[in-house]
Amino acid sequence: MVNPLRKLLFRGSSRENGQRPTKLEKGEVLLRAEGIVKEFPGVWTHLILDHVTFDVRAGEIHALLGENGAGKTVMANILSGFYMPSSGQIHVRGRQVSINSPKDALRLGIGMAHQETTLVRPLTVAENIALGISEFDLSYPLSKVERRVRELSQRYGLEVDPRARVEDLSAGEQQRVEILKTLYYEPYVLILDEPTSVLAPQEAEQLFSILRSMAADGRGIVYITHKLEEVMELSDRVSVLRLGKLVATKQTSQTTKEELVRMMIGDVAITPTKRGRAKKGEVALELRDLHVLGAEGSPAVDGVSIQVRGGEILGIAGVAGNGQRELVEAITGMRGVEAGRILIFGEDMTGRSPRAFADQGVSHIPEERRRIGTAEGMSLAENLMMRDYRLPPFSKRGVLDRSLISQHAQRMVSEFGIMAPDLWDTEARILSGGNIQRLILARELWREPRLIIAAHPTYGLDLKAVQHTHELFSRLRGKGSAILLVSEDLEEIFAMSDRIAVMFRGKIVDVKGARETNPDEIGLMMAGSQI
Amino acid sequence: MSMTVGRSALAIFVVLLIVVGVGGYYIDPDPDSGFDPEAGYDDGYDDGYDDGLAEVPPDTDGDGVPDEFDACPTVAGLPEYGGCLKPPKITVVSDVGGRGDLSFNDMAFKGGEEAETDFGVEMIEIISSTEDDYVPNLRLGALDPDVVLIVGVGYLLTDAIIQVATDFPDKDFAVIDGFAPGMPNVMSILYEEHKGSAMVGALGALLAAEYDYPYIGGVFGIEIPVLWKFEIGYKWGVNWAMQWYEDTYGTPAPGIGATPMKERVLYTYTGTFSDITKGYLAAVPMYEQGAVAVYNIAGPLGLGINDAVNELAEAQGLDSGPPFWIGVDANQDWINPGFVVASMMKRVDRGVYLATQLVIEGTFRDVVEEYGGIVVLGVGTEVSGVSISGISVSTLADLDEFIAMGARAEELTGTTILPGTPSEIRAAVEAMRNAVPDWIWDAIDELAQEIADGTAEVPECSFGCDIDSYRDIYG
Amino acid sequence: MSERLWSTLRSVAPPVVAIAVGLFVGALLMLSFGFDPVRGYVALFRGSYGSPEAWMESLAFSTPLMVTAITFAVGMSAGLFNICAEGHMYMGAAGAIAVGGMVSLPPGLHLVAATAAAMLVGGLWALPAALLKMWRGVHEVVSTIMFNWIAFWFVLYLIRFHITDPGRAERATPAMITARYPVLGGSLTGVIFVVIAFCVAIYFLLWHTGLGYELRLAGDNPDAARYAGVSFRRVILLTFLIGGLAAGLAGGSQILGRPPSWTVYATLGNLLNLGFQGIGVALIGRNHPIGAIFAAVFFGGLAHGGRFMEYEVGVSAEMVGAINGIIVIALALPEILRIVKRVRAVKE
Repeated sequence: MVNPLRKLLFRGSSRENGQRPTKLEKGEVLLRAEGIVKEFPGVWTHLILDHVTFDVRAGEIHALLGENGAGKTVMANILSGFYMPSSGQIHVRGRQVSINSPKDALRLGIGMAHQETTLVRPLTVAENIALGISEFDLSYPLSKVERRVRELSQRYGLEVDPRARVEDLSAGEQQRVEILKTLYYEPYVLILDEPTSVLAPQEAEQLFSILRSMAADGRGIVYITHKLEEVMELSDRVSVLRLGKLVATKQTSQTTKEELVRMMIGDVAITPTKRGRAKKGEVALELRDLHVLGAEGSPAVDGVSIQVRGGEILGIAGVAGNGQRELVEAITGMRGVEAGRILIFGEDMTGRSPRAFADQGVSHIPEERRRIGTAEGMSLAENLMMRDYRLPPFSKRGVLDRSLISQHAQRMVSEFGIMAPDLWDTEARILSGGNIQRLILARELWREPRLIIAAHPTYGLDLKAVQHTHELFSRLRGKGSAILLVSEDLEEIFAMSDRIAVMFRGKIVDVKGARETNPDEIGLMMAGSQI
Repeated sequence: MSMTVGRSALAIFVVLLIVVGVGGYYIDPDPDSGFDPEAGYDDGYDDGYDDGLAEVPPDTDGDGVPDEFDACPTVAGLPEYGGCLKPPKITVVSDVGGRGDLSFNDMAFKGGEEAETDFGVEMIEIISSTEDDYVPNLRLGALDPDVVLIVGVGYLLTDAIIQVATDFPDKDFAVIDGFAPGMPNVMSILYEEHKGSAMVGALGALLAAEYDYPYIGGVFGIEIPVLWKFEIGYKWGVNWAMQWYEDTYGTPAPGIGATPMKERVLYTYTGTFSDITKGYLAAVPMYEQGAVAVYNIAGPLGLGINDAVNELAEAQGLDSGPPFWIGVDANQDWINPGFVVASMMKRVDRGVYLATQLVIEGTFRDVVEEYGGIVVLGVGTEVSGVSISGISVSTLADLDEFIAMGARAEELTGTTILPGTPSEIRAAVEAMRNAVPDWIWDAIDELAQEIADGTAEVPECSFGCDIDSYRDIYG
Repeated sequence: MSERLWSTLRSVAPPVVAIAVGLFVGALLMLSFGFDPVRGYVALFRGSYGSPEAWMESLAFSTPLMVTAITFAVGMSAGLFNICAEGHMYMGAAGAIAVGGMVSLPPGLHLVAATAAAMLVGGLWALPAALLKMWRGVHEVVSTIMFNWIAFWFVLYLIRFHITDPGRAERATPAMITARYPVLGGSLTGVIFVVIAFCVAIYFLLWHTGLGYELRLAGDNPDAARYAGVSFRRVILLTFLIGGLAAGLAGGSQILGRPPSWTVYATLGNLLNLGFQGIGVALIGRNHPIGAIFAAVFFGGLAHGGRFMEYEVGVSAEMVGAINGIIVIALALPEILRIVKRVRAVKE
């Protein structure tokens, strides 16, 4: 029986019967996004997407490359109907459309497989896929779904048992189900958002061949990633996004990794900060063959050994996702260590708590400012107390001296230029990203700590604040603090660091003196090229 | 939570409390409610002027009573010329059992309704949902100037009655089953349960003799002195019946008569007044050993006993006893028509009725003084020369009232309570009663007579009694 | 200044709207059953706050609620959904009877000892659930529901066999005269001062000490708390302990500070549900210890005033319960929404 609603949803009998769509002409522009602008008023002041134009053609794999926060996922969400663009046009097969919901997108033949699967774990594969349909018709026979799933799996080599429970499947298999779920609607365009982030290497290889066969079938594939190797291996064309702007679209065969890196991270203008030679102090931080596991249990930090001395800034350069976050978490006590040693001022801190690290004089400027750096429901004054609430003079026998805390907060506000309506009454939630970061900097740096672990300390700050932060770091360095600076911003790395270590796939590729190297060399190392 | 939110919440509550508090003092949209704890006493005179501020109503004969009330009867316990006012009120405060318990509380309300009809009072039922409600619920009536009597139903309210009666010495209080002697304004109404137990004990023993059963049984609740009264009275009744049989027929009674005297009553203290299953578990072996009837002295556990009887009845295809069980407090004969041979009735309704009557007649405090605050109702008892019984073995005549009460409870609770239509129930109970030989009923009447005139003295064993010495005699 | 005024107005608006909505819906309910809502509400609020006597009864009803609300409020501050007040309260009551009714001590000392016993027993009863959460990660809702039932039956057992009033099956041994708080009038006793002092102390602990800071930090953002070096085990232990002490005090207040029975009934009828009502009180009081005091006064007022609505206007007891329920839900709604929003934010 044909459900009238489904008929409405999928016009054309061929699709109703689950057959292939009209044969697509190779090279036909299936989807074209023109001048897409996206803003999140009240959250971000800058444009998340700034007049991005982008198209996908039949039979191609088009990679969308960029660092975290470049706007790739937002773009994908706009194309698949999760977000509405603030302005700009979308054309599907030459016709201008407006996509108001994921349902619209599916109807127009655009399917998206998400980074994190949206599957219902206790249900079977076929049931999960039926869920998408059964919204309209609960009597839809499951056997039909199963038959169709088998057919699709066969066609593209997506091996999945339709009767298996999702919770019993591996990450790679779940990814396949996610793709199958989309393929069920026979989309012209399939969007995949960082599909390999949860996959083992062999699984990734399998996925690539599946994608190739789908492209060969005439579909267009948008492949979102920040991994250069994947772009080079898989894609026909590549578009690079940086800070919401489209840098360029290139034929993959006509570009190189090095060029792509440069496009991703931008031109690096080296303005060496004037600074005196700080007296090199004792070894503040020493890592010996440190191994740390990532979120999926895969090795994220893979045998790192470095030293940072007092009066020195060691910059860690690298494309995001190469183990920097795990490294920072491990050396501040936030993440367990698999193997190796962490020594801070000679004391073995391996496996100690965040409090022990703090007590040892380690400051931590975290990458995730809102998630771990602030308590959004608490006031500015209280957020400033996260490190000091149990220390004199603010705490006397466990009782907080609120007037002293007020004075201190007032001083921090003026010294670090934090803009906030008041100290005690406003929740930190309403502070802007920049002010949050100023708050964190104030809290972590005012005691002039001996060792500072700073992850992306100036990301999102305006120029003046960046300058102020850099001056502060220099001053602390001059006073003998050791600083480990993790940044994706090569400009900053070069401006601040005494030495630069490049991290790639969990390993330190090399450590260079800042004066003995140049951005090109570092950029190549970041891309994984051995020199 | 931010400080602002906390502070604003505080501000709100302060404002709210002030508004409703102050508002409470000054707003009175219903000057006719006759109820204002602050202003005190509202004469209830529906004349549109406020008390205290009123122009003086015409009083031509100068007797201090306004003309329009000159013809009013004086009613004791009421304000002057109260007879012309709204009917005086009595409040009946239930215990946590509430309305629809088919026992204590329902009977008390029934007494109140009878008082409404006979004395023209208005009864207000007040239901207590937790024990903390006793005091404030009693105070409700105490604060209302129209209320002339406040009744607390059940000994659970004793402490609360004492407290509120102390605070309101001008009001009259009665407590059913409570023991609050020596207060001028509190009447404790107690019942001679031991005498009623003796009568149903005798009834059970004679049934055992008639139907040739070796035992009768009793399922008790928690072992507290109050229950000893029932136990010893019951056993005494068995003894009396055996004696009576031998005296009357010249031979020892068959069946139970052959059982040694101290073993005739099978009894169990279940340790609960609420676990119905325990009632069933206690009753089953009694019936198995040959008890002709089991006396329920554990409130709702009677339903467990009933289950045990039903099981036997089904197995043997009976539609009427023996075996039987015996109800307590209320008339429980309707619960399982044909299998509840009779009930030991404690007429809580008579207690409420009596207290109201005394208040209306103006003799309440005299009677309280005369009896030291404790009025005992029993078999053929008198209070200040008026004969009033508080204890009886259920009769067919009582049954209708209780069927009506069951029907009302069905309305209130929305559940099926009655096991059949009223006429069906009545027919079944009547058939059962007729099946029991007349000589047995006559014997029970004889015992009631002996108890009333004092020839038979039922031992009373309660607080401070040496229960073991009685058990040495009666088993 | 206008800025400030606006922000004050904004934060004041939700409870005002909530009160209005609650009263309005309650009024509709009364109207639909043919009662005059104005008379109904006047009876309700005059009955609860219309005279000194009314205040005393209302406050007597609110006394245990102030502290059972603390249990939930402190739990929420720490991000724990602690619904254990009910069980702790039973245990606290048993503790109060054990010392207040079974042991003879000199006046003064006896009162202190019995109160301390109530709190201590309540606090100790918090340990199993706290330890399960600390060492095994057992969710507090699951464990506290189970411990509530264990406490319920255990205290029933105690009443039946160990703290029995010989000769009175319906209740446990009452507190001795020396272990009773002085009666201030009606059903209100001096225990209310202890209870209020406890609430204020908890306020001080939460907002003026490092421990309280840790607790609130853990409740607001567990990740940030870890980052700040807060020990969750300590927070959990502290939260449960305060909850236990508070609910224990609530149980004790019903024994040592509530005439005329000065004991617990064998049905636990004079304790039943006070712990769960504390949740509503805490929500109305916005999970703030001082807010809990005022919310409890409001709650107690409804509990006491309802009977006047019934007595004077003839609204049935069930309807009174429904109207009170509507008002309570409306008042608690802003806080419930806030919690839901926060939970959703945390999930994202």
